[in-house]
Amino acid sequence: MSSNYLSLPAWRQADAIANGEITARALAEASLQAIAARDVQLRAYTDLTSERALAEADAIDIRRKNGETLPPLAGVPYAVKNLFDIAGMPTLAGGHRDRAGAPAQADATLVQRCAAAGSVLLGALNMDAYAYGFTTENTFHGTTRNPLDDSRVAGGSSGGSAAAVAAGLCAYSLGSDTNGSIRVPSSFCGTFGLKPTFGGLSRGGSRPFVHDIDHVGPFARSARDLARIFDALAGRDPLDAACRPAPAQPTEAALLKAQTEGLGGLRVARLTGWFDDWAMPEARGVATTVARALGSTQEIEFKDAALARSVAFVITASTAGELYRDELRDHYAQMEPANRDRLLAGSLLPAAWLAHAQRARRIAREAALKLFEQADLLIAPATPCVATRVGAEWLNLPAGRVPARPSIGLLTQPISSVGLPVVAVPMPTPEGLPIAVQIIAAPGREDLALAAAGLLESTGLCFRHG
Amino acid sequence: MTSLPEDFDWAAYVRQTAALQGYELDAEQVGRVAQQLVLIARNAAPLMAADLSDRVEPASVYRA
Repeated sequence: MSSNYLSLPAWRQADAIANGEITARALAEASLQAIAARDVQLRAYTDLTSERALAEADAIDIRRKNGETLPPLAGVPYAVKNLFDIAGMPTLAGGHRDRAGAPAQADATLVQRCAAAGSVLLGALNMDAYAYGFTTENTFHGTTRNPLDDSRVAGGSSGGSAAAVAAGLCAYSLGSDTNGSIRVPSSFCGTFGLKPTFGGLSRGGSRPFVHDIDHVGPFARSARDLARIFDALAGRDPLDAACRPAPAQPTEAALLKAQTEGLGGLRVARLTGWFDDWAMPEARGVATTVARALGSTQEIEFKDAALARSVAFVITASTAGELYRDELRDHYAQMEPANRDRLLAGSLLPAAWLAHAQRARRIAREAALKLFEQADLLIAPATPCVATRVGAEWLNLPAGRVPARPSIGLLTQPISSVGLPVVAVPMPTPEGLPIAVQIIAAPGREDLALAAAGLLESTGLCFRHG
Repeated sequence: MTSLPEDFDWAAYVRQTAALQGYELDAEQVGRVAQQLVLIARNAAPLMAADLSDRVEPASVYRA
């Protein structure tokens, strides 16, 4: 049964296609059938690209038939957050006014690179409107439900990206992360997620939110998939001035080596202070479990975490507000009610606040980089708690009661604010739902974070979908 | 930077600055936007309390 392959990791699906166990077309058709059956309730997808998927799958099957060496993700079905350009379709970024807008002329850079790696595009995925939120409760496209418990949110803003992967409706997906939008939904849905170093993957052809904090990256059901996808997609891009060169060595090789030989004496430290104060006991518990499993013997404090988070909050509000200023002025009534007032407020902030935040960001970044004098990898929970209920307004956390929607990223914002690479690794909690742990590395060291995630996965400690 | 007083009149600020940006807001919108500014200001508190030397430059972003 081709549907049996849908829950396999991407690397296993690629193997199955390469060795003729299953055709790419059969896998694409099984994926589209699963979406038709499940997504009416889940609302992970906003658009399907069925014809394209079948054409891309057929092309892979022909290449195999001709005896060609297949690329690393050949025939693997994937989907992208609907802020990535897909040629011939309007790019929504969670809004709905653009539905009637001009279609994208070309695929986003990463979509082109996924195609070059042999992947099969199934469609576009739901998100918080404009990427401003942590819950994917979208007035226009519906609330993406958590596949583990449909009374709960999938997280956001890349909620569709996590839910689709968790439910087996694609092997991997792409999302974006400005303040936690890959790591939060990974935590809530139990997927692995990679937020690379700032500029680690190209944002070319994607709709921006906050230009100097936006990151893009993959979701998958295994750490090895993240490494393979990162290796296939990394590399400079003239469309993204921030984009870094690809790593000199494949990260998948580093991960496989770590799974057999361990981490080779890497120093691992659990982050305390802010990351304990704003975490529920179950979130602190999974971070402690991961730190121990990776041989951590130390705890250190990122003393400027509150500053780094505050910097992210102000830069986000001000930059996103300015980005949507014309839209707010001319089409306020057609914008997402859940966040249009927050966007508008951001556009009114004094310029001096933004300038101050950009300068304070240097202090926070230097403090964060100093932590790597003591450790190679830092461990912290990705979310303060398990997935919240749909419609939840407040979070009651050890350090205080805070409004839920702007605060779910309390533990992710201090890290993305300074651009560090993070792998989110889902871990089980006593109540059965997952919380992800952030494995954080120095800039450009995705290989170390992925190796640790791979090692952790091989221990069997990570969250597993039923 | 100096922190704002607790009773800062955000609604008045919204009315003034919205006009500057060309927004036409009714009283309800002004109230909602003012609430959002209260939230942003609260979250900006650690930043506003940061005493930066004039030698601290903005963090660079692009490396191209």
